[in-house]
Amino acid sequence: MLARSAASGSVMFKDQTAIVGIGQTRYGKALPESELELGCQAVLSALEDAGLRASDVDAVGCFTYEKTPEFELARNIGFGELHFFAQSPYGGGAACGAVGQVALAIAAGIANVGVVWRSRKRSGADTRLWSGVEERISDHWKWSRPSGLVRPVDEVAMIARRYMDEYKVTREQLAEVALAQREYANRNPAAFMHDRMLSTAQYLDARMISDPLCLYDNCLETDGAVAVVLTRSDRAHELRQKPVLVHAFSQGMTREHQVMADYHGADPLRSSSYVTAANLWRQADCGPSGVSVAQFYDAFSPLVLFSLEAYGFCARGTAGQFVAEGGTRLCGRLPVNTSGGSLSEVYLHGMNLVVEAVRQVRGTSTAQVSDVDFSLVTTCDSTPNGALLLRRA
Amino acid sequence: MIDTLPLPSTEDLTDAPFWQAALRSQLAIQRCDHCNRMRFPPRLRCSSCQSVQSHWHVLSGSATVWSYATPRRPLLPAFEKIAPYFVVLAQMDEDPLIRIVGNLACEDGQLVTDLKPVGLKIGAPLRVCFRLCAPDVALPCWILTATSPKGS
Repeated sequence: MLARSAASGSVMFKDQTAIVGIGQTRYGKALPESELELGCQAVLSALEDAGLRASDVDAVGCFTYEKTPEFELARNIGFGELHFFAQSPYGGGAACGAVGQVALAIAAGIANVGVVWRSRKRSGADTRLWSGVEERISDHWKWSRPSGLVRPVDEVAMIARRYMDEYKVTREQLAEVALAQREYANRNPAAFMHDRMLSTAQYLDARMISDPLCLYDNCLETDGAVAVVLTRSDRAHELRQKPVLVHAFSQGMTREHQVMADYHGADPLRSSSYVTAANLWRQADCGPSGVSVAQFYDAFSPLVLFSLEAYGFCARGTAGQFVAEGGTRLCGRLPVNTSGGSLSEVYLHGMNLVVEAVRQVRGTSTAQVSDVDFSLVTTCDSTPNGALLLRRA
Repeated sequence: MIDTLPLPSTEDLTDAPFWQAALRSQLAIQRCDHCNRMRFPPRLRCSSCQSVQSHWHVLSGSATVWSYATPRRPLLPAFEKIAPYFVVLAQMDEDPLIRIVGNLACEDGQLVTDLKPVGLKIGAPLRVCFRLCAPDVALPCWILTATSPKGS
């Protein structure tokens, strides 16, 4: 237990770095640019936002799922000589890990200016990972895919049905996740679903994708890119934007975890988010009650319910009621996924949620929560994951 | 995109005995020689005591429904052909922490394709059967048994 009792080193990390730039491309279907070009656009936009030059960049973070290698991005944009590059694994679980690793490198004095980007062209049907399943499966998916749990939505549907049965959560309650986020997207001109309303009747009439989950419980299939720029907090004040401090960071993986088809631990409803949350709050100067806005990874709407509970905003089994009572709306206790999120803004493996978490601290969201001191952003509940707690300087 | 049913590789020495037992219609899982703990899916070492020594323990095949899902289109072509189908996560009677995925099957071993299978609910009792999908692959499937639900 030595490692656990000694884990009090957060003072070395807390508030030492800041997100000083954010950038994004337009979002859409079948965008003509390559993923590399979209990535360049997002990074250049984030550097412009920060008031930093490409040659200032000496650290890069990305997802292991990113198809563009760091050197291609670096030589297309003209980064300086790089001192740190790290990739974060597990797809939807990766965004906060990618940002957190670069923040750690900067806080430790290894690098000065870091960029983290995610670029993705996902709108074509042949780009979906599940469509590339091979005739013989040799990894852990051999225990579920041959029975027809092939897509991520199928894997989440299994957990969602158990959760809904155990806690008597109705489809009408679950609908509120998608409806609240669509309303946020309707306020956000950049959101893919900006112009499209969604009603309860539409939700309840929608076709099932993996029962009990319907079309609107699934994230968008879109193209786009986003990026953030980080540097040391003591340098951030010289820059163009109000700095957003990286207050706390953790990754998390339960014992006996199995990616996506996470069915073999002691309690499959106690996900890796519980691990991440405990270590995040251990470091933080506040608990859940000090947080007034959150971005929860939402490739599938039940993940929002699971995360509300895992991060301590609702008791176990009560998130359905919380959302049904408007708890995640702009007037609610905890506005959630205020740009529209993966369900209604854009699906970029959750990296757009990091950008929105920054906007909420800056005061520039299209669904701005007042007086944000702490802004939480998390990653996928079904995979090994991570979270960042951001803070107003 | 593949046209065939995606099947498990059976060549990994760590889990080959599972697939060999399945061909004999037996549900076999690893049991640690050192601490006696059962584990699934198969792996090299016991996560409780780190022992590499284990043997294969044949389960009764009696279980209950922990949860289930019903995938709908769009699916891989092999699953489009059999949809709608049901995927059950079964919890073993011998150890509730051992859970195994399989399709819901009828008494005759064919997959259930009714839209609302009678008796399918969380906690409903099940027994295992095996569906031969290739010379080296018999996939475990689950049949709803007639006895009253035991809860979960």
